Amino acid sequence: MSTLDVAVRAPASRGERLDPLALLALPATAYLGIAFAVPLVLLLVTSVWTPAGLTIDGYVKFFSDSYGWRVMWNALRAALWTTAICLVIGYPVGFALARSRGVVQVLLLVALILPLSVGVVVKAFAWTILLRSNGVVNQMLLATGIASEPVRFIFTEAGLVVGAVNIFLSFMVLPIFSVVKLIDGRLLDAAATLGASPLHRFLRVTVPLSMPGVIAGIAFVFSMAISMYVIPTLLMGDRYQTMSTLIARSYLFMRDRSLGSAVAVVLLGIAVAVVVISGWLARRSRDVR
Amino acid sequence: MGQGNGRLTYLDVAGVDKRFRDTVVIQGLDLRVGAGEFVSLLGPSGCGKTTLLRIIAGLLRADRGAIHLDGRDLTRLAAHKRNVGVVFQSYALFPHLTVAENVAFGLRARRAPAAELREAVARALAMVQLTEYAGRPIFVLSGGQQQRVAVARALAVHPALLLLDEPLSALDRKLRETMQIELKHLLRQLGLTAIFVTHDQDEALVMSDRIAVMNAGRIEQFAAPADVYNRPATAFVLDFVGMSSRFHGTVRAVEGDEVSVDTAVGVLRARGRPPVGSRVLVAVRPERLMLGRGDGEWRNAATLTVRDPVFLGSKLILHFDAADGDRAVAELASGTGDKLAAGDLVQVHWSVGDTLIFPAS
Repeated sequence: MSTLDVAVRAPASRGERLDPLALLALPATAYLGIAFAVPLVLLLVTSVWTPAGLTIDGYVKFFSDSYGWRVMWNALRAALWTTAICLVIGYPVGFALARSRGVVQVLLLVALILPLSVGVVVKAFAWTILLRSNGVVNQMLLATGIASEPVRFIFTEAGLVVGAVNIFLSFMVLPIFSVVKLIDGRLLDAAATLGASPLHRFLRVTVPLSMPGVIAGIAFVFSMAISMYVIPTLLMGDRYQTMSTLIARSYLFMRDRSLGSAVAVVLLGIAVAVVVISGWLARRSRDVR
Repeated sequence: MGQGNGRLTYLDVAGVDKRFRDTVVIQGLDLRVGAGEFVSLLGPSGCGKTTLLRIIAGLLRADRGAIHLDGRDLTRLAAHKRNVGVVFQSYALFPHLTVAENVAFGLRARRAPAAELREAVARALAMVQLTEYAGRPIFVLSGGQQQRVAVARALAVHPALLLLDEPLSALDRKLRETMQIELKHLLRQLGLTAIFVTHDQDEALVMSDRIAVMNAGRIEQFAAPADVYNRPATAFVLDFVGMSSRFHGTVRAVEGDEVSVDTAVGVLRARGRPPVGSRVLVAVRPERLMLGRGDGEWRNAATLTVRDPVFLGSKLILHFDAADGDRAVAELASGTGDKLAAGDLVQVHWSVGDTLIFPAS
């Protein structure tokens, strides 16, 4: 009995000892600490601390004004649409990428990664050209007869989401690809020999096993989409405010540091909440069936 | 279980060909297995045994040939409609499911009612003595336990045929030997027809009713373990299953059903009818060799130099010096040759009836 206890406990006690390999994470940790954690703490402090003393004025100003809620809803809605569409498009693409071999896979990966080297400003600006009333998209719609007069895309939320999906899609596809690639094909063979139809195999084996990639993709795309700044600025103009543009206005034009940092903290809170909840939902969907 | 000749054919694999690109993996292969039989596919890696298994399971499509199971034509049926269970070499357990959920997977796929499902899972887990592990995740289990989950998962759906792809090869020797007996006992109890792929001759000998020895995409011999060992059909089977002494030679004369062969150790006799002057391989299993000079039926004799005596507790293996390409080895009961040392000259003899003869390759 006692040997069994030791055998069962051994891995846990091993985990408690510091692995010397962990030291390799030190430079990255130090960098993140200085470049990320310190400013974050400063931000949190700024949001509740003015020269006059401790205050929650910034938060009150943001939440008491219907404008604040509208801005938050704008950002949330655009981010949710962007994430949902990226997931719908990106999941099959991630699969195609994982199942492809050789040159085809390399080409697909290059096609996916190369656009990342083009700056967001350039891409967003390109979309303004594509989407404007005499742009390529409208010319095609008119030429093919799908639309009889130019459709207004630019300065609409649909246009914003189209642009954002294009720019963030890689961040959904790549984590899904990297997880699906590692799914052991023999598991699907085993499922087949157990009598599972292709659909059952997909829903009960492939989807649950690809969840870590899906969660990572959602976390990436959502946190980037809810905090996007350049894309709405170029595709929506000044009248449409998201939380990022509001933060920038608070700091740059209104000189209201406590409002700006309060909005930034709320934004951070939303992003963290979505990431945590999506992870929790994924785990739950796995446990309960 | 005998030759299985009188038995009705349950699984019928007929004329199966399979090639991957330009490589022929299986060629014109026939295999007939009776109901309730435990058959091993034994062969070196790359002989096509796992490919054949995957074709029977429906995970690969044969280029040619037909597969019938209990009268049903499986040839074009998808894997999930065949009701052929597989225990994979890597176990292929679902890492996102618990032990019980793994076992329940096939039942859920068949939409078994909840009550029936619970009962079947409990029964399958009890069969492999893993009842108390039902709620555990897979990754905390040892190799042997994972192997048993894989067996329980395959058995829970009552397959018409069970295929096992080297399911014990990842276990250490002690555990493997225990599991061999356990698995054989369990499958026999269930009366299940099973095909067991292995490259381990001892495993095949221990577990099977019949062994199909495969080489280069063909079955070289399909017979009961004792026949495979005592009466190997080809030089490949002789070589692959068990040890043997083997001497190359030329047929000097044919007398009735007996031939005499000139070899490096002298004239040896064997039953067979190869033409005079042909090159042959004469062989004998090591435990058939006796010390001393024989006569009559026991007139095959040789004087050999001990190269390496190996003491194995209950037996003594003597390796002798032999000509190039030949091999000479004797297995003696402990105590009979204990005083022998390397370099000693020894006279051995064996029966003509135990002598095997094959055309030289």
